[in-house]
Amino acid sequence: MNRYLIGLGCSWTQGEGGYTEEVWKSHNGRVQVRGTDDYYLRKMEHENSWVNVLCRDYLKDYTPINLGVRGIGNIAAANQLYFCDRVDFKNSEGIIIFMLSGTERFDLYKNETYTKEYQDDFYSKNVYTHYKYRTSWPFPSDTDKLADVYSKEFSSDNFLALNTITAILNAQTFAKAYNYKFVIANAFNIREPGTKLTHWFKKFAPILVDKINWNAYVHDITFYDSFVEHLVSIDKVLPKEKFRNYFSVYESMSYPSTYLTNCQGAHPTLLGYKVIAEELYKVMMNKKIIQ
Amino acid sequence: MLWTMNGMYMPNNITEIHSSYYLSDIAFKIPNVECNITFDFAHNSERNNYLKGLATLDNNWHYRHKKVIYKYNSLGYRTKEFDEINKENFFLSYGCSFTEGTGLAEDEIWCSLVADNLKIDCLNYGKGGQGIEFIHLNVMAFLKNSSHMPKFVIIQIPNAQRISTRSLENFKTLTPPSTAWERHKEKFPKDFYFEEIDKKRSFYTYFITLLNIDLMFKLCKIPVIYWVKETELSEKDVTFFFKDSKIQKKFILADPVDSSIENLARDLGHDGPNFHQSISNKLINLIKEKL
Repeated sequence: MNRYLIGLGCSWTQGEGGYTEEVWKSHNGRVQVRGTDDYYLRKMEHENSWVNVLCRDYLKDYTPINLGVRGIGNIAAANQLYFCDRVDFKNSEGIIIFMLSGTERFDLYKNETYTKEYQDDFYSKNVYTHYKYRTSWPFPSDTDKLADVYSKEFSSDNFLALNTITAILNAQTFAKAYNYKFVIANAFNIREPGTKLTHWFKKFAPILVDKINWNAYVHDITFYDSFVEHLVSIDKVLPKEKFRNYFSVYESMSYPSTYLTNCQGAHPTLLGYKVIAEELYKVMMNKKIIQ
Repeated sequence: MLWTMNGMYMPNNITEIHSSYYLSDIAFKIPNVECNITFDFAHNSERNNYLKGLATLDNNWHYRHKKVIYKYNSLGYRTKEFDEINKENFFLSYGCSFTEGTGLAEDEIWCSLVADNLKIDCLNYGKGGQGIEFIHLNVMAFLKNSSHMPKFVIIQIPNAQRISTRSLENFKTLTPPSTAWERHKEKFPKDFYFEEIDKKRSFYTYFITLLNIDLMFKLCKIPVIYWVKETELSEKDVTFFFKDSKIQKKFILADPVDSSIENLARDLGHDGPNFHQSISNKLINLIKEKL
């Protein structure tokens, strides 16, 4: 029976930032392709993402399936499972790891979702294009009507928490239905000091939060609440108590640091993804999700 | 939600349900509805159209003689209390106004006809103006909180273009522009809807939510049937999403019926008793055959 390790999430799962030194140099120290075709980087992103590294270095009998898509939110991340038609879920086994994207992102679909030109996404038979989502952030805007309506009418802690819980439950239900193991991790969601992401869920989505198997949550046994917190910590670019400022500090750098890039929002570097893969492996061993 | 005096309520085109959602609830509590209250009309336009019917239709007009009242339970649904049903012999119905029965007497609604024919109790969680996400949350709440499970579930699929945002305290649903939309044009410019929430975009959201609901019932071993009044699903999309699923065999398309004005419901907008009789007959046959 085939064994798969399936990664769900955003750019932190797709592998943005996981580039070789050669790529960084050829882009003058800043690789953030936006608005133009980024397909030339995709193979390298997948190769160096935690999804592939986890299988390459630790779980060698698993085949990696990277369903991460840059920029998407958690509903879209979970929905990716339904676009993955290269895995026969009924006749396979494995682990689905949900690396949570930003809880503030709201996903719809683009007008044109079918593939126009052949670009293998490595997880489907390519009926639909990889970037099929229209994701919005809750920022008032004169030009982006969706963002404007979203920010003024929908966005609230209640909405964000329940939307994320729904996404996790969707993925968890899918995993359970197909007898896959399920793991939840947090890429970069940070709450105010002293508040863990799970506390925030309990406060704003109390009705459904205990439907989630929190034993599957990576950060209930790590000393950090998100992978960005851990990578900033080992990068030693910022004092621990100021890690929340990482966004602007990293973006102001002219070249990536050891574990995080200087992209907007910062992404793990090639070494950063290795750290994430190692941490996921240790946690899964500790929790006996894998033997 | 605009709540008015004079014994009626008026769901507007952008439905906001400010819910106080109790942990023990098996469905969203629709707020501001007094427990077990009875209305004569669902909204102003129903009353106006009823008067129009009295003035223009002949003496045989069904609703000249048929009494229609709206009685809501303690959660705000047009159905019995959970404590009043036979907990060993009941089914759940979900949907929008076609299931709430806008313009119809309670005994004319499709789910009442199914219940009568099969001698089984029905808990009807249809709610006018709502979309698939509302049903999704209600299903999750029921499966989490109910002490008893139904024999089967029937879901009427609402308009796919309704986009809801999930929140426990502020559940909002956007519905496609119509004449009533004009009331909200300052709040939501109409072009926002056409640009951002067209059929294509909302279709995937709706479809994948449906697949998530189906998996939940599958895990609980509860049979579920879906019916839809009309659909514009493309063959390409249906082929892709139904590929592994038995959902297609559980999907019923309602037959068209004579929709001349005298055959409509009392609000002269929704389908009348003939339509409900027709779809209930199809459902009853399928239930007897398959379940």
